[in-house]
Amino acid sequence: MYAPLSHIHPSTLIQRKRVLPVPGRILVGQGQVVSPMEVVAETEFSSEHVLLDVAALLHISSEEADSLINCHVGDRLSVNQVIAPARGFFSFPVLSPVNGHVILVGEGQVLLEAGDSKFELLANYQGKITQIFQDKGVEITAEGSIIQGLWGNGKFGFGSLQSNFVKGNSDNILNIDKLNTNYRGSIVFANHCSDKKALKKAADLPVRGLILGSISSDLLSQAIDLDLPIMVTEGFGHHRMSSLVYKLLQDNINKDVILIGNNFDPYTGVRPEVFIPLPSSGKKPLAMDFGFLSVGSQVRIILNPGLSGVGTVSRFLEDRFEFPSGLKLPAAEIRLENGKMEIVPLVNLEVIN
Amino acid sequence: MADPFVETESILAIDLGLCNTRAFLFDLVDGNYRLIAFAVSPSTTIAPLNDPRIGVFEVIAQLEKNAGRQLLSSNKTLISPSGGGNGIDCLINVYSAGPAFRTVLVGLVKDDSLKSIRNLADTAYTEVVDCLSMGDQRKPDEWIDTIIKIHPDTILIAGGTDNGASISMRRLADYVGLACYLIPAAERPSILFTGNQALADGIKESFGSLASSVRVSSNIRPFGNVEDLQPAAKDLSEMITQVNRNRSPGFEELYAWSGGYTLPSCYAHGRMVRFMSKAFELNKAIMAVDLGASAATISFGFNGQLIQGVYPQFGLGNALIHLLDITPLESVTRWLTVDISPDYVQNYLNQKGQYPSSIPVTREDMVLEQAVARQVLSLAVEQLRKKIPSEIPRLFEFTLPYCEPILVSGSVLLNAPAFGQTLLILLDSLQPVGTTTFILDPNHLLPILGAVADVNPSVPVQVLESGVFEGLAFVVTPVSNARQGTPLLSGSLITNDGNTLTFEIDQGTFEVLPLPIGKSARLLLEPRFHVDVGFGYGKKGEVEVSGTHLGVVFDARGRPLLLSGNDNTRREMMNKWIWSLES
Repeated sequence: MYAPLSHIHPSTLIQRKRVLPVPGRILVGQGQVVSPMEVVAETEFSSEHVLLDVAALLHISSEEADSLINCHVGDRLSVNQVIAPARGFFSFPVLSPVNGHVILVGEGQVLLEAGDSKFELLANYQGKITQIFQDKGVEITAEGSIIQGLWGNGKFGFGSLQSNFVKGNSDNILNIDKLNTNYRGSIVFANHCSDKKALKKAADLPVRGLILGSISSDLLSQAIDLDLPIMVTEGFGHHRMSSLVYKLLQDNINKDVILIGNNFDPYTGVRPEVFIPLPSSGKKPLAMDFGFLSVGSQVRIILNPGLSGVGTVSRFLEDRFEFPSGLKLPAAEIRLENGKMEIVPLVNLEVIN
Repeated sequence: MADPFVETESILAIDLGLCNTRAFLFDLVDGNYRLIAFAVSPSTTIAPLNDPRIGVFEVIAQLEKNAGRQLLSSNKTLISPSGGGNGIDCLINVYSAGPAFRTVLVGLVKDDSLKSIRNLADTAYTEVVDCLSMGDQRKPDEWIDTIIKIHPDTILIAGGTDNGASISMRRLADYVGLACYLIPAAERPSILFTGNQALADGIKESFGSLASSVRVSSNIRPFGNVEDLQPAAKDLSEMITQVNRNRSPGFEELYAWSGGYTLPSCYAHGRMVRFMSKAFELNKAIMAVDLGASAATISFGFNGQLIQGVYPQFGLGNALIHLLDITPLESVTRWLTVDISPDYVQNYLNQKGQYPSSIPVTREDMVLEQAVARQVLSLAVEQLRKKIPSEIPRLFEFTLPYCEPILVSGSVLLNAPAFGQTLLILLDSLQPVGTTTFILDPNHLLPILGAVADVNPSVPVQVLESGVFEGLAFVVTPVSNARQGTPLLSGSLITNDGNTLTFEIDQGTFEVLPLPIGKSARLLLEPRFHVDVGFGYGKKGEVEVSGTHLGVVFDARGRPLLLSGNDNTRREMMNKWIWSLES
């Protein structure tokens, strides 16, 4: 049975597309090795346009206006530059209200694109360019450790990994008192955050990113607004970071990690992820895009009870199992890491690979 | 694939849902079409597989087992035409999987064409992200930037009566055209124009290269206050299918297999309801409710007229993440029968929204899921109710018109652990009045039948007659503003095997008279002078009733249903209602 898949892997090969929002120039070549902060493509686009109805402004016909308009498509205009001269004593010349360039001229109107907004597309990953999509973007193939999450705030960051865990403390929430200047410039991981002040302090220090096992839903809007990447690995509410994720992060403390806080899109499969580059061995197979649930599969529970619990499929139940909700569902027996056996509906499992 | 109109003895129908892919096999049995076999399998339309064919092959393999019939050849092509007990003559698809289409509405006048174009958008899986009209306070260049920023999948344009004034409409279209011009060519939206037909040729020509596709449909407001959505709704459904074909090679192949018989589920759902409302010639409306992961769909038919609402924002899948942006938390928690903290509710909605296929395991989560179902269904019904013309008979403006029957589908409703829970979700959210029968569509067959009607109109009629639906309950809702405990109604239920049950119903109560499936009865209703059960205040009536899972249910809780503001009292009352139906 096919199942949702999360990559949590100490060493694998991934391929990611990096694509411009509008066509532009590709700045790297096939086979080139790139670093996360390297610009791989660039383009210009503005989100602000100005439509000047010269005919209406001068109270003349559009044909007459066309004959007066003295700019052309592609012209760069500065603010207050004359677009069409005044006509008679009682009118004013039509001036460009912005710095920008001319997109269209016709039917007595001029469409301007305001400003010069250069957009640079970062590699985000450390790897090799394995495909170039003309005018659009590139594919990067990268080798390293990967941890995919459930929720991201849409930001990107790069820094040294630090733990916010304290030995002997089973809770290990991101606590305002635990955040100090030692974490400045680092990507920090913790079990959980439900404290708005702690989030703010993380942004103020600033840390370069946060990896949280879980987050309280009432912090989401704040987390989206903060100017640092945040990834949640397990879900919403108060849940511990799964042991697999914790161990992999713990093993990479002080290493440079890339935090791509993509918004999870179940339709396209884009997920937030942490990537820890490793030297290329050239032998790794590509990570699978989908999971298949079978006996022995490593799985994670995605809904309560037991959310974030990790284990392996011990067996599939022959008959539908009746759960306390009253629903009878196809289910599997999962051997959790602590040895406990748990019966979980198949649809509440995610394959880990 | 053979021409579907020739020799369509056996029909394979596929329903591509967000979570599940279903397959249905219809064939002739003793000269009548019957549902021969059914199978369901997880969908593979969205990530990570992004290919609906994988789920389709899997579900067909299951169907082959269930039917004892080979449908696919060894190279995974459909065996067609049928012969020797294998293969099929025709394939049809319906689909609801995939994200809602981000849609911008453009209408000349806010309360006129813009309102109609919104009604049109409500017939499809669209997410209306902005509306533009001449009365809009924004400047044209702001409109242009808005459209570029939104990056819509579709733009629906309406305005002007046929051959009426056209200058303003042309100007609006010009602004849309400018915005499309500024969007990269490969990402331009599809345009549907359904306004003044005098502009149709100009629109087609001017949008030719500025949109990924341009369609012109007949005017949804051809003159005065007349609104005619049907031709445009068909064009919209075809346009959306075309967009899906362009996006997914797997979908395109399934479309080709079907010889073009591929429809959005919601469109087929509405078509079937319209057909039934015409065919059965009732004085009441027919309503069908489908509460799925992709959307809440309500189709309402009256004498061949269809009023439809397709609400992706009220689906029980990814839309849950944004539910609390459109309805307050308290509107969900008021339906809880156990104490669950507001924090837990928020966290559950977010978690479930990320994993729409996940299913509640604990009793608390089930209660929560059903509370959410009540709220989204209430919201959907409220939106639909406003669109129902006032001439369709109803008791109060705030209630739905009289309906018979109400067809029900959607996992949360069909898979509730007890029939009583399903009925209570429906009664609490739809709040019907008079008498009505709730009927379950356990295999989500209604849209399939609506689509099959294209290929062979006999199939839906004969399959419906074969009893593929299950009666959930016959519900009597006496309406009165009397005090709690006041006698409202008396009467008797005389079963065909000669048993008579008499009853007295008081205001505020919830009573059940069993009438199992297979039995039938005459129900005599004698309301007090201040009470209406659908025959008029104080008027007696008699109805023939068929047996259902729950029998005859009297919902005398009042309309609108008022819930106590005290959490404990309210929960106690709601649990009492559940027990009434489960005992």
